[in-house]
Amino acid sequence: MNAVNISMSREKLLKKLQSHALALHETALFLDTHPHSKSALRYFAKMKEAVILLTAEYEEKYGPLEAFSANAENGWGWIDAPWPWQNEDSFPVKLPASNINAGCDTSTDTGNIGSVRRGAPLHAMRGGRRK
Amino acid sequence: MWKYEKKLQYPINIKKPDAKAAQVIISQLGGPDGELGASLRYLSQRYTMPYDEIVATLTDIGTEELAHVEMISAIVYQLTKDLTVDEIKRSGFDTYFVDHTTGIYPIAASGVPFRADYFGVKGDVFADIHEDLAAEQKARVTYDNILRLVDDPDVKDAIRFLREREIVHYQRFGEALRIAQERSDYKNFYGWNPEFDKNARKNSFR
Repeated sequence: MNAVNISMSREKLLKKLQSHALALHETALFLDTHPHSKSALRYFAKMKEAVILLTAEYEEKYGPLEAFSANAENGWGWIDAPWPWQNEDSFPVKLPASNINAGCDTSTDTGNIGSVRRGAPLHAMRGGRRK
Repeated sequence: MWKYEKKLQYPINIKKPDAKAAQVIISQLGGPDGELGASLRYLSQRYTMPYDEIVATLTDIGTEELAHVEMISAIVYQLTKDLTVDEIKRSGFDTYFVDHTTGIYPIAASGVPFRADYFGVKGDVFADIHEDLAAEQKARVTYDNILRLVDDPDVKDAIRFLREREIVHYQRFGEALRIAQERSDYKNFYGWNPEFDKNARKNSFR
């Protein structure tokens, strides 16, 4: 799979996560002023489950979304680009980390897709849904 | 305390640099009705807010505004990152560039740096919620004006999302106002300030 395909599927999964996270946040705001709404509470639970699953899938494939969810056993993937403001144009996924770290210990770089590290666990505070 | 999530609230993927658009959009970062002021307004007002629903609303909307600070910053960053010196001179971006290069600094479109007097904390639930309602409307108008001034569909898409959020927040603050009114003396909402007069909560209709 080339860099363009990777960034396309990353973007697609991210967008799915973003839309569910927005629904979850929107429901939280609604519950702030309607704390007893049974239908909102039900919808919140449904969206929360979806966000947990999508977050786990995203982090598994493309690296941690929070510093504490980084898998420190495989190196510190939290620092790996892209950062949220870097669109695919400005930060090509094509630069392999092994080039960036030329001359350094590259033993932690296995499993990287370009500069994106794989295999990060979920944040413990999100309910500990580990893979 | 807060946690950072390494994602935008809504995707931003601008392909064409446009320094002129950046110069007007930056007002929603550091301008009078911008996202930075919005965040500080709500997150500052919440400490003395007497009703839990409104404390939660201010906390959660104030936090969302921080995500909007990031979105506006990302838009300005993507609009200015590949500019040539020639484009910088032609677009009028040179007056920003000379002080900040292409770094992201909170200013209004007029060039005035962010000021804390763009927002108020009165310590009175009715005064503050009315300020919040007005602030959401003013931010909505600013986004409407930005939509009149920019053409790039990638930029407009993100601006439309942010505009929509102002309307949702306005709705929630309207409900917050109703909650505060319901817990006040209906004959005189202003008889007590429940953020200061300690007996007011005992007398309230909660």
